[in-house]
Amino acid sequence: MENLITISIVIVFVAAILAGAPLFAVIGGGTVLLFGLVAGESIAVPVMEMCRLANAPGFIAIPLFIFAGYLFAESRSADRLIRFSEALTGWIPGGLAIVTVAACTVFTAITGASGITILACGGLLLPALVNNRYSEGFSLGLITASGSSGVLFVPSLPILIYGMVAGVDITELFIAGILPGILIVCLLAGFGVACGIGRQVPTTPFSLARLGAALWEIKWIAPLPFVVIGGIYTGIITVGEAASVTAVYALVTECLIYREISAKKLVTVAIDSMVMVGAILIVLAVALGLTNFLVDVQVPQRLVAVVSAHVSSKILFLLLLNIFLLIVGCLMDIFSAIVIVVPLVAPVAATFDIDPVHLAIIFLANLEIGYLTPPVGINLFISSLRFDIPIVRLYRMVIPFLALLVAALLLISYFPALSLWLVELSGKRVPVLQF
Amino acid sequence: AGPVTIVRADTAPKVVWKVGTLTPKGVGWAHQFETIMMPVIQSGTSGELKVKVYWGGLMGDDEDIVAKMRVGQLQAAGLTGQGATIACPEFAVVELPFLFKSYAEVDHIREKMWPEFDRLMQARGFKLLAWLDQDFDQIYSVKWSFTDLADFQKARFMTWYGTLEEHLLKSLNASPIPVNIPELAPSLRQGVADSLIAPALWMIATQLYPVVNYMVPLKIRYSPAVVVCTLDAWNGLSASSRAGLAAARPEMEKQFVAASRKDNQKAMDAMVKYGIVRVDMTDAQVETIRKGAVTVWDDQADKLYSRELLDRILVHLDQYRSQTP
Amino acid sequence: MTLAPSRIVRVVLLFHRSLVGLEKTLLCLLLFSMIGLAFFQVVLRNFFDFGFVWLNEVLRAQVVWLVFIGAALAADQQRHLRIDLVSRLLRHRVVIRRLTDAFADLFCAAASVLLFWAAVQYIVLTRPFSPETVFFGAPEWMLRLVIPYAFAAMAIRSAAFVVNGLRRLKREIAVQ
Ligand code: NA
Ligand code: NA
Repeated sequence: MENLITISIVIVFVAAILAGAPLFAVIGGGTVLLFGLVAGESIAVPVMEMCRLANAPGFIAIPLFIFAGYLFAESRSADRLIRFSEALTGWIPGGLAIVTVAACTVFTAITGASGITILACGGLLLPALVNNRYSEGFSLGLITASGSSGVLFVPSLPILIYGMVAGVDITELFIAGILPGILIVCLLAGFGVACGIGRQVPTTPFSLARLGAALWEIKWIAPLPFVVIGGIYTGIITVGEAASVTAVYALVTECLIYREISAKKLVTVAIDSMVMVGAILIVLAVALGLTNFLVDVQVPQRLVAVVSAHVSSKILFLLLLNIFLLIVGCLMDIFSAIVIVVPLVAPVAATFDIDPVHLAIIFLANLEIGYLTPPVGINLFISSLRFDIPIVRLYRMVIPFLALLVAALLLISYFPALSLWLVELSGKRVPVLQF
Repeated sequence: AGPVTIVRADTAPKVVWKVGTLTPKGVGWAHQFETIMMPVIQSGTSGELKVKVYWGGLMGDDEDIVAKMRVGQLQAAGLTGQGATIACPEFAVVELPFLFKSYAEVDHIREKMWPEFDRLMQARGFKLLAWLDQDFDQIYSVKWSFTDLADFQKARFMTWYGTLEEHLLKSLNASPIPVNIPELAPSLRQGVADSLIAPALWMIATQLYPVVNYMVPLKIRYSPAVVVCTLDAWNGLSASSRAGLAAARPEMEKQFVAASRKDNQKAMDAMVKYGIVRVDMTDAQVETIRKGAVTVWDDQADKLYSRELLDRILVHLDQYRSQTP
Repeated sequence: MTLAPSRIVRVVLLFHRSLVGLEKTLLCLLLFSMIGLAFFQVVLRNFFDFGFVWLNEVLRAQVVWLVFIGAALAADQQRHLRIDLVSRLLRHRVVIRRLTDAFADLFCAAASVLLFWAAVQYIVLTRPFSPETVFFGAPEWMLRLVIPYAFAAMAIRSAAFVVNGLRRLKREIAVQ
């Protein structure tokens, strides 16, 4: 009888996922049932976990960045950026692909989540790419994939969190992330340039006068990246502060200086962007509950125990780790994945003689790729929602980019020198304090 | 909800407690929990009680852990000083600035006041199992050596430890910068704040130590660490187990705090060896700072703790100080 | 919405529309006050070396409200994240699609009811220990009331979609 009930519940949930029930309902409803029926705990616990969302670092930054992104997207900033990009890179075949990868990388590094990048930069870059004769599929794929390298660059929030959770020096991690990050950027941008040459994307001769004019047009927007990146690098502001500065900056430039957003439009943008925030973060909130259930019944520990009992070679372990983290990366947000999985996997990795700094880079690169792994990578959902594209079409669009990123991941995993060489060179390895 | 009871035909019924703590597995405190406290749990309850520990904040921060004990997901917890005041606000009284001058005084108050704090805990639905130490917290700073009270006015202190710390910093004319725990390191690195009050081991565990340049071991604040369980879980144990745990408790606490105090000292030495400048203030300097800070004692009386509780501790301390030269 | 124009239904609909309007107003107020407060905090920290402890708490409470009100509205606008594999594949099989949509909405309504109940449990259990907040000393559980509200709203809205979807299907079959 009990088996029958279990089987029926599972069937209902699988059917609900396939029928297109909202993800929050599937995860949240499932978690309440798991707590009530399997763990025998109070069903208040998953709600308690949802409230923990508010304490997540950089949490306040998310709605502010999303709002600013919507605002830029609704104004004619995209047109101005297209003109500027054309002036700057129009002479390179595929120049705009380079700009896309670089911009998304920088923005992801600043915001700490590539989902935000899709929202904030996608609105600007998609029309620009399509106007440049790139196919819609390629453009969407490129934007969805481009944030990935950002988690490896300063001032990436996941790196800061990883360092705190794993007890690894953060300076080392930042140095270690540089080469793998550049590798990913080069692969994506190189692919973009290749496609640009293949599709014979139009090139225009370089003109200093045109560049100057384009620069003058964007003079109010151009300082923003410098304010944000510069602010964080120089230690003037944190990510949350950068987000609020960006939001105020967007409000002032779009509503007061360019005057392209009317008061009525502003209200619509505010509501639309916050509904998006609700749709995304409610999934994150219920996912925290599910994670807590898994922790409560010690599923991750058991998984790790099984792995260490059955895996003897380092190469096989790394491969399994890659696969495991891809799955984790598509199910959880990068912060809770780090908080939950790192303390469990790090000791096992140590038994395979994997350098903790190298492990960190593998983790971060891997989790980020998980974000765009079908069927449930969150970046796919964000792109699908933001650009109103059926998710199944998006699956096809990201496949070439996914292949590139997995190639980069394998290089990162099996060539530790890629992560460790600069660290050794810098001589900045903070000794683990022994006492 | 509640403790899981597994009845076996061949042995006595076993009770399993789920224990939450922020302490990461692998640090000294966790090691002492496993090597000093676990054997006591095993022998004290004759194997009736088994504990399953969720290390390293797997169950959230202290506030989450306390909430989870209240809804029955967890039965027990190892809490930091901050967590102790969340479970039982009166515990703030031992965290008052400059209340204790030495660990000997802490031990004396622990002995005299243990039943009282246990009673206060029980009034909040928890049973005090062990009153241990976190540290005499030190001041750490990127910029300031705090040899002068004026340094406090210029310093920007990160604070996350609750009302008491906020009032302490204000009493020193310092600027408290509220920061969430996960944002401590970035805030310090990015210069949002430049100073903090924290335990030595914690500075190492969080890798904050390479960022700071000065350490001021001023004994500005004692911070306890406690192991508590819910009253329901406690009452779910057999009478003999409860008696066994209570009997083994004082000796276990002694061993535990001796080991963690040794660890704290080693952690401080290691940081000094690493290159952090240790600043020892003169008695006169300490006195000026003390004068400002102790105003908090009265300010918070009858808010976080009763004045009567503070007075009793002060009487015990006076007696102790008059007896020991 | 093409429900029978009985008086009760009209009153309920009006009530529902005004709730949605209220939610939208609240979202705007929350967002813009958040931007203002967060920016105020930046200015305070960087130019006056100063910070208010309550500011962080206010901001965090605001984001929680933003998320749950936003999620409640997302249910009204059917903008929740979903794996729309099958519904995309069945795009041209109208009857089956209406049925799978109805099932998905029904599931969402049921799950929202479960989550609503869990949220009520959470409030009931934590209420006695709820700490005072910076919002004029209001206990924390009052700030958390937005959680059961959002799940209740999502449950009702999803259920309404089930009813509407099935009605539409009935009409479509009748036309055929
Ligand atoms: Na962020
Ligand atoms: Na502090």
